[in-house]
Amino acid sequence: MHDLTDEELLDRYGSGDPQAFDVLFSRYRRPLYSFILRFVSRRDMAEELLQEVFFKVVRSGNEFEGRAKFSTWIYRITRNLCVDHLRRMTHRKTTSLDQSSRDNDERTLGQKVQDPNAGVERQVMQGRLRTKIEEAVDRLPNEQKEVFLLREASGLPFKEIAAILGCPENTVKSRMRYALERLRADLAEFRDMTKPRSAEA
Amino acid sequence: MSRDQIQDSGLNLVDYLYGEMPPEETAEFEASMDEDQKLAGQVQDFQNVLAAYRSLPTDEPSSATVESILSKAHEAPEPKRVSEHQRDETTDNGSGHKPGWWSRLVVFIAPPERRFALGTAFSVLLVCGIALGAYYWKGRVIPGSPNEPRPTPRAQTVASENNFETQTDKKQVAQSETLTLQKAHEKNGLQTGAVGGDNPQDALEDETARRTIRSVDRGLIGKNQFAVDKRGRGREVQLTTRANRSGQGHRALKMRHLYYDGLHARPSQPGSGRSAGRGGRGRVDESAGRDVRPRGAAAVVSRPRHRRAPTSVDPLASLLSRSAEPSKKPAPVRRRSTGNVRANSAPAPAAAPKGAPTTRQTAGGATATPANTATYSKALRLARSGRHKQAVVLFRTIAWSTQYRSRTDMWLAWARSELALGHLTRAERILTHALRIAPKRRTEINRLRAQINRSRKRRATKRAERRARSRRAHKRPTRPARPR
Repeated sequence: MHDLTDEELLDRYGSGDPQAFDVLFSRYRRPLYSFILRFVSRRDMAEELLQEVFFKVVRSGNEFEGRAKFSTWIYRITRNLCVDHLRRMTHRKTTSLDQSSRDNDERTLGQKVQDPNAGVERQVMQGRLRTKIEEAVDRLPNEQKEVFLLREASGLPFKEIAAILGCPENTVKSRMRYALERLRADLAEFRDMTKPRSAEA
Repeated sequence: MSRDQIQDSGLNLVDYLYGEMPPEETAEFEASMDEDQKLAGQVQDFQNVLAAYRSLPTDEPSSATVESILSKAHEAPEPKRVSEHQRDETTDNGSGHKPGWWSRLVVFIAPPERRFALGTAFSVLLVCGIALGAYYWKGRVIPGSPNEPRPTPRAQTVASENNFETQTDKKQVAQSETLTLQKAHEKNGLQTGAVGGDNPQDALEDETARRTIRSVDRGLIGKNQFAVDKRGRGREVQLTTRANRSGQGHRALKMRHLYYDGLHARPSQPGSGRSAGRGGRGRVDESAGRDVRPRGAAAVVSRPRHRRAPTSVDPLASLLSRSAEPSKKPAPVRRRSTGNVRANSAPAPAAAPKGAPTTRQTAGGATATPANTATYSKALRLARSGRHKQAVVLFRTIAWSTQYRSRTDMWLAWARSELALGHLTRAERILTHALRIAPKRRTEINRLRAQINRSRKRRATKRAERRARSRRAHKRPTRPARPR
């Protein structure tokens, strides 16, 4: 089952084999979730969107024509959902104290504000770097952000990213270049920390 | 460095960062990095940024979400296979973005059965449109076109006899015939229209029509208005009546002109009996032969069907052959219709009755006939001598002619005669018409109206006295009181 391609798995699922969907889900849940989480910057919303993406696959899996790769198709669905979500959220961009932040801990922002144990320097720096990276990615324009995330969070090649976004490959690379420039500028204060240890050595 | 070069270097940089650069270009790029420390530092910074980002912990969806998705996928019913075009109709493969109208249209007409249906519908619409266009274009024949219909035999006869060009349209044929008639009349001094002759039926119909005229004169269209239907003139009378009732006096007047002239154009024939007037007394000159209809109008003089001429004989040809004969002796000619449209473009010369002088044109375009002038003079003479009854008959005869209908003197003289005869209502109507055509003579008209009112009052007084007298005459004598 695991040797089958995505398209074959989808076809099997369409024929009534639920195990095929499990394999598909295991292949795509992590990169998709990573992409969605970095894109919308909210864990609860990321999980909701992930559910929606796979529900769409379940509902309209038989509409997959096979013209493009399955990965292209599912990433296009994901990207469109994320863009729509961001478009909706531009009108109500407020942070609730009850919603959890994007980091791993499930604490809400209100709980973190009241946390008395946040004080170790290293952890603070690591935490700050991580937060800074996430904020820097979040500040990227959507065009650059989606290219950067599709490449870094989902590991897609530029050619497939171009197919997903419907633009030339050179445009994708150009956007990637600009995204890297912005990130470098935003993370300038952490230059020493961002250096790999091997380089430091 | 140009913009393209910058872009190329940026693309190369990205390719180098992700190891997608070919080996020979990689070596070249690394060589350039050795030379350009700035580029090398830039590459290093990018690598650091990417390394920092990749060092972030990998995120996993919560187990609840995973379970929710898997349970939903397992519970979902078995997906149905859909056809190709149904698949195309869905929105962008379920990605949530609707395709444009063009792509939807293409998808809609994709199935062959739909293409066939649409093609059939379009063909039917096209055929219907062409048929409709041809239907409305019917009658508008382009001269010289292959669709031009062939001229009718009658039109060919007319054309051949008069050196006219053949006309295909019915209207043009009628006009052609009318012109032919006029031409023949001008040549022979005949008048347009049919003639009554000695036929008693014709005389009867003439009399019926004149009675109707008198009814129109009085403003009281009697029951005999429908009697002229057989002659095809009832329509005009009805229109006149309707216009009168709806208060459109001017329209009624116009129609009355039309009606009178249509009838006056018909000559009285010797021996046709009572030609006009009450009881046939006096001979009325009906030789006016004028046509005062507005331009473009044509008086329709249809014949009764039971008296229609045999179709084997061309009526136009027969009339023309008769009109070519010398008209010294007005032989009794049977009425032969020459088509149902009479000319109105030019006044047709009228055939004068026996011994009457020919007509002449006035400067204003109206036809002034010495006969009418003589009639008017005679009517005036009769009125002066107190023979109002005969004068009124003559006035009525010439009143609607083109020559006299605008002459206020005639109307006033007629009104005076009517007043003298005691026809107050009729006199008042004549004065109303006179006022309409000559408002400047209001004083004179009002004087006559005052005279009418005085006569009415006098008449009412007399009537009251008469009633009182009769009441007194029939009053029972009162009984004497019984002695107590």
